[in-house]
Amino acid sequence: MIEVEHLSKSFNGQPVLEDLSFSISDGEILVILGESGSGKSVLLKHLIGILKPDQGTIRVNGKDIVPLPERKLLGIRRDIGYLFQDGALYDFMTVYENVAFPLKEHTALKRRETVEKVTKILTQVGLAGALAKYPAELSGGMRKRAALARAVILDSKILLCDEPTSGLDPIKSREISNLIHGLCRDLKCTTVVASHDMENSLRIADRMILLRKGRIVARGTPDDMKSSQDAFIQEFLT
Amino acid sequence: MILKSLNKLYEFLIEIGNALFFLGEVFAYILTGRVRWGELLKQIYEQGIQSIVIVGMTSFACGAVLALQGYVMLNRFGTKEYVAHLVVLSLVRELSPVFTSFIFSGKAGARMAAELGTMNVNDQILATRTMGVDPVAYLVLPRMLASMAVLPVLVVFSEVIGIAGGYMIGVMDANIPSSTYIHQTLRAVHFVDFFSGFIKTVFFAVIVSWVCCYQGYRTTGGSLGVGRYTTRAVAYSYMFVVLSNTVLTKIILAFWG
Repeated sequence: MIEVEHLSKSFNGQPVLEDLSFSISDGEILVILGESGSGKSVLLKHLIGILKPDQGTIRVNGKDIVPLPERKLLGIRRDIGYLFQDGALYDFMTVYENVAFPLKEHTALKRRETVEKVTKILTQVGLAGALAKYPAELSGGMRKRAALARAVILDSKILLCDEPTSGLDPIKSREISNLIHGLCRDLKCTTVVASHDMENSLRIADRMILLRKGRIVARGTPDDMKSSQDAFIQEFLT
Repeated sequence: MILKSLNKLYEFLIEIGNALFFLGEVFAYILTGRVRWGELLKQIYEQGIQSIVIVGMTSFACGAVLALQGYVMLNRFGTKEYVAHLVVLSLVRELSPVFTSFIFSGKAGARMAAELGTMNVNDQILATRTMGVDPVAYLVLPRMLASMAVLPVLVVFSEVIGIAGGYMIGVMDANIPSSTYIHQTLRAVHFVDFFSGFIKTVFFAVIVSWVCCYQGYRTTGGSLGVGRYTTRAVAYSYMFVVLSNTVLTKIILAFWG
């Protein structure tokens, strides 16, 4: 479903991603691990066409998105959910309005159907009682759950999550990771999670890649990672 | 040193190009008629309501001060009745369009820049793009169209209130008979005077909303950046309003006197 080949990107002459190649199959959960500043978020932004690579190709459902202009990318992005690190909810809208926004923009659902769909997804993420609240009235974990609901409301077949557990305590981190895992399995969506949270990544990932200074230094299943003898991987795991 | 200056010039030209491209995108949406009417009406309400009290107060004071100063000078020549001419022509041709644009820029313009800037630093504009929605169409276009609708109305309101301020001083302080003052006011102002001020207002509305939305849209650097870009938005709008007013006045006078 997503194929990346020889992807490179630099900012002001400073390489951030170097010759990355990997692919993600339908319904798979891939976790991109790495230290802060290793290029995880930059890579995610490439997968949705927000950033253009200096070199390489990115194919989403067989279509190379790199040469596409912004207007065409807007169409492709309707099928991709993106969970931002801090949620990026509209602060002038309630939780309900935020989650209903993609439906309002891209579907012809009637008001009653929209209410039903939004209520259902918000119940799924445990925010049934927060429909009328504004993002400023929510805790960090609730904001992430609302943002997750917004990211999957269009039944997206691809979900990209940028540091979904950062800034949360271990319990909330586990909750949000389980939620992502559960929703992805329910919706059968291909998921890419950028994270440095090793514990939760090992629990939810089908496959993992480890980035260091913009390069892939290891890849495999969670079991492969755990059994690796590589010093950096071991250091990262502990 | 030369290289540094050339680099600065290059960056400046790129910035101008980006700002023009941004304006082009907005006009392209206007021409294709893809306007979100609900958002537009919300913005018209917010921008109009936000500015109306302060525009009314300053316009009344402005008309009153014009009449006070005019009366002192014109009385020396025994032509105090012409105070009405001075007030209405000054307001309609110059002062109301320019002052109202300044006030609008300081209130609604600063708000636009700060709102868009905050949304930008909190990734909300980026989130709009990731949801397959063009932020220019959703966030910028309604704000700019609302400014183009609201500012001309505010200017007409300012002119009426300013004339009322002048009337109060003319009648109560300069002892000009009420009927004379009203007659002189109506005799002084012609359609071309009103029209020339109105044309300027439309230009100012585009300038203020363009500058403020563009500065907000490109804000970076967290809360400090929001402050910096908002201040810059208001300062640039003032500057461009004053400069364009000079050019427009010259053109209007050349065509209509």
